[in-house]
Amino acid sequence: MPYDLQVHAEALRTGAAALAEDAARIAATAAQVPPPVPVPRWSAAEAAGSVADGVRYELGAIAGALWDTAGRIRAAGDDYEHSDDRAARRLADAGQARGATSARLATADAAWGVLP
Amino acid sequence: MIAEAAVRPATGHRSEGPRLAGPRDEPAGGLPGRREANADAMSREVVYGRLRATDPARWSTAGASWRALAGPLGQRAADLDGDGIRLADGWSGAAARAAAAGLAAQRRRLQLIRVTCWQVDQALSEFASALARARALLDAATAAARRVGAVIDDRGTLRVAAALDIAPGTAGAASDIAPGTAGAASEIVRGAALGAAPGTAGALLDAALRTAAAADAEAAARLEALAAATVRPGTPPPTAGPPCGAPPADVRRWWDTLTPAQRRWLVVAEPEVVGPLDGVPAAYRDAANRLVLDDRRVALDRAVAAATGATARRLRAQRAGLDALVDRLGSRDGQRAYLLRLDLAGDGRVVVALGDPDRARHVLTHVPGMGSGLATQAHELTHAERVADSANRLTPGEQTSAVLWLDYDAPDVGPEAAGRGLAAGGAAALRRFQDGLRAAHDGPQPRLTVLGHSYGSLVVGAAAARPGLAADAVVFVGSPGVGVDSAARLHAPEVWSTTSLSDPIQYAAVALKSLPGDIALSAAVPGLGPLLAFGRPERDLWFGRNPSDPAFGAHVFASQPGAGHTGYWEPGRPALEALADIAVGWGDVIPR
Repeated sequence: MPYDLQVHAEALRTGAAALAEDAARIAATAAQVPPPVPVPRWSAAEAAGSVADGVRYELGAIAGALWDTAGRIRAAGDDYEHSDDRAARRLADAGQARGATSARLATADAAWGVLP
Repeated sequence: MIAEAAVRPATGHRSEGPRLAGPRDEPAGGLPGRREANADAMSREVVYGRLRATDPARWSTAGASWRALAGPLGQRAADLDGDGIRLADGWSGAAARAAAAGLAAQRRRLQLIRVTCWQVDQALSEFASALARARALLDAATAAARRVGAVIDDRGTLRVAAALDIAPGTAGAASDIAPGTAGAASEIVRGAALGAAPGTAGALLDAALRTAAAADAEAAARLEALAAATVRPGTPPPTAGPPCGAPPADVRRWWDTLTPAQRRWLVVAEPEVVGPLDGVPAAYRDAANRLVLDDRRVALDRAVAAATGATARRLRAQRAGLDALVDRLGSRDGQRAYLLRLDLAGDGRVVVALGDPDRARHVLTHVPGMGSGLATQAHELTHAERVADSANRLTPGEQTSAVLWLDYDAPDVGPEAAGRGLAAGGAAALRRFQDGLRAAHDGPQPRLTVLGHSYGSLVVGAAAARPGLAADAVVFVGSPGVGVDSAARLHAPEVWSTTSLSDPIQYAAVALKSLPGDIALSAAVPGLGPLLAFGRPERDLWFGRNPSDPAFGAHVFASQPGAGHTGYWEPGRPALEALADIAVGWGDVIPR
C-alpha cells in the first residue's frame, strides 16, 4: 500500500457540502423531465412515459447516492480529526508517562549513588 | 377521376402532389418503416382518428425538450468533475481513491442518462417527422377524394358523397371503386377496398395510415427498450473492439454482438472512439459526438484566446461555425440533426445527417468543395437540407435523409485547389463513409446518392473511379472536372451532372491544353473572339472533361441559367427539383 495519506479535514467538509448541493440540484433536475404528449394517445406516448419514469427514478437514485457519499466524506473528515486527536492524546500521555518514569529512575539512581 | 391524384405524369409532375412509390419500391402498400404496423393491434379507425387529431409539432417539441434536458445534466456532470478535483487537492490515500471511484460512477450514471435523453429525442423526433409525412399523405388523400366528390369519414373510410355526380365510365367509377359499391350514393366504401394502384385517394389514405401506424409501433418499441435500459447500469464489453481500420461491415458485425448495456457503456466510456466510427449506427454516433461537443467548444475557446493575427481570425470563424452547428443540433425546426463526426483540426471537419440515415429510404450525401470547413458548414448544410425537404415533400411516404459530409481537407481558394491530392484523400474517406451507411442501415437497403459540388465533384469522381463505391447515383454540380473523361469510367449505376450557364467554373477552370486554342481564337476574331473563346462552356476543364458536356456521357439535367456557382439550391428552381428527383430515384422525369 502506498504511503500517500494526506488529509485536509476542512477540504473534506467543504467538498462534502458541495456534493450535497450537487445532489440537491440533480434531484431538482428530475422535475424537468418532459411529460409525454397526452393526446391523442399513441403507443409511443405510453412508452415515453415509461422512460420518463425511469429517468426520474435514476436521477433520484444518483442524488441519493451523492447525498450518502457527501455524508460519508464529512464523517471521514471528522474521523480523521478524531483519530488525530486520539493519537495526539496518546502521544501526550506517553510523554507524561516518560516524564514520570524519568523521575522515578532519577530517584532510584540517586539512591544507588549513580547520579551526582 | 380518382386515379388522377399523385400519379406520376410524364411532365409537370410537381403540380400533381406527392407520390407514393418509386421505381425501386416495394409494391404499393409496402410499409416505409422497418417494423410492420400491426393492423390488428390498432384499427384503421383508431389510427385515422389519432392521425387527424395529431399535431406533429408537439412531438417535435417533446423531442427537443428531451434534447434540452441533456444540457443541465451535462452541467451537473461537470459539477461532479470539479468537486472531485477539488477534493483530490486536499485528500489522498485509499479512502480518497474509494471516494473518487464512487463519484466517477455517479458521473457515469449521469452521462448514461444524457445518452438516454438524446435517444428518446431521436425516437420522438423521428416519430414527429413520420407523422408530418403521414399528415401530408392524408391531406393529399383528402384532396384527391374531394376531386371525385368523395370524402373520408370519421372512421377513416372513403365515402362516395355524390356518386351520381361521377360520370359513368370515369376511371373513378369504373375501376377504382370496387364493383357494386360505387352506384349507391349512401354506401360506405372502405378505403382499403379502393384501388391499390399508387395515386388513388384510397392508396394515399392507406399509405398515410400505414406510415403513422408503423412509426408509432417503431417509436414505442425504441422507447420501451430505452425504458428498460435506463434503470440498468452500463457494462463494459467482454472483448476489445474491431481493429483500427476495420471495414465498416466488420464494425457493424461487432456492434451487433454487444448488448444494449454494453453499447451504452461504450458511448459514455469511449465517445472519441465510437463517435467517428463508420459502421456504428448513427443514433449511437450522434450521442457519442454530442458528449464530446462541450469539450471541443472549451478547447476551441482556449485556442482562440491564445491565438493572434490570422490564426485568431480563422479560429474565431470556426467558433462562429461551431455555434451555428450547435444551434442546428438543438433546433426543433426541420428533421433532427445527427452529429456523426466533429474534428476541429485544420479548417475543421464535420459530418451531420438531417434525419436518421439508418432508417431513411433515401440518403443523399452532399460533398462540398473549395473553401469549405467548419466555418462555412451552416451554408452547406442548408443546401443538403433543401434537397431532403424537397424530396420529402415529393415522396412523403418515404423518408429522405441528407448528410453534409465534410470529412476531408477541402482546399482553400488558391493553388491548393489546382491539385488532386486532397480529393484523393477525401475519396478514400468518402468510400468508407458510404460503406458505413450501407453497413449501419436498419432494414431494406436505401437508395444512396452522392452529390459533389465544385471541388467536391472531384472527390466524388475519385471515389467512383474504382469499383465498390456504395452509391446508386453520383451527381456533379458546378464541376471543374471529375478526374475522368467519361461517365463510362465511373463505377456508379447513375451518373448525373449539371452546370448553370452562369457558373464561372466552366469558363475559369479550363484545362491547360485548351487554353492555347482559346487564346488563339480570341486573337483571331476581332471583337467576337474573346466571347467565342471564353464566353461558352469549355469541354475540357482543369480536372478533365466537363461532366455537363454531352460527350462525357452523364445524364445532364438543366439548372436555372442564373444560378452562378452556388445558386443551385434555390427553392422552387429547376436544379433543386431535379436533385430531389434524383435523390428519390425519380430521375426519369427530369427535363433534360
